[in-house]
Amino acid sequence: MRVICSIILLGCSPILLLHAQQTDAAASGTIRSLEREWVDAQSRNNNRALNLILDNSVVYVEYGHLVSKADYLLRIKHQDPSTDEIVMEPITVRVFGSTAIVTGSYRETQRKAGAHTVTRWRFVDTWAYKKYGWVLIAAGSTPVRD
Amino acid sequence: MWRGFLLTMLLAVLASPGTGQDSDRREIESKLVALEKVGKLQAIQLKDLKMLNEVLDENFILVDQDGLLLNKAQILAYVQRATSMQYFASEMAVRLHGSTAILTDEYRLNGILAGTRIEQRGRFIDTWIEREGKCWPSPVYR
Repeated sequence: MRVICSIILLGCSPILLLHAQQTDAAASGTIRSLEREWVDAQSRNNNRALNLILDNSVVYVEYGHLVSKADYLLRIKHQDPSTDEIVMEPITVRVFGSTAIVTGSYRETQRKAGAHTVTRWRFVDTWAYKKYGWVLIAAGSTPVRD
Repeated sequence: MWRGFLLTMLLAVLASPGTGQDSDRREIESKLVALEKVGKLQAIQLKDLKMLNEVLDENFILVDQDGLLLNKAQILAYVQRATSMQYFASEMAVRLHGSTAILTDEYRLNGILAGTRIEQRGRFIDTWIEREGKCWPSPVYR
């Protein structure tokens, strides 16, 4: 009986492994979409979408300052979308069960008084799977110096 | 030896299932702060590469002050190269999300690397994941 159980378990393990990989792949795909939605929502001042993407206790670091979800949403609400453009570069998603770490970079173009500046940022975001899906629990970026 | 024992004890507490009660939560938070201080910051200061190797996951990454992405091997090499490093941390805060913890802090780093004095000041976010007692810190932010 023990031999049979072992054989069954051995037979099942590749299936379980495949299932786990598919789950991670699916999670990775979802998080990539959410990253795009975040940028899109920010550029359209869509606070309703941002409210769903960001966890209530999200830790967000902007220019070295800790920003709460409420402060971030308030800033986005009053931001002129035409002054700020973000172009995402390739990202990497690593899934650890119900947590995912995203690393990547993006280029931000800011327009002010007829002039524009381009800054390249490196970021790391942390996502957690909660009751209603993946939410952003920590995020921050650092300017890349040439 | 005592560091290894302390690390084992801290990891054992982190690995223990929480009951969701406030006291358990506070205990996990304080243990995480201790692990951050002893397992990471103090280990950097003392150039304790063995401890750092134990605490940091193989997938560990960090974004440095210049926006460069560094992996675990690069961080260990950086610490090894430094003549001296002094880390001053304050205002550590932990937010728990199930088996994941987000730790934030303000820091000041003074040191000497390859004959050059280093002075950094900033804020970092570390992500700790309960996964065989290893952590997955994320970047250092200015």
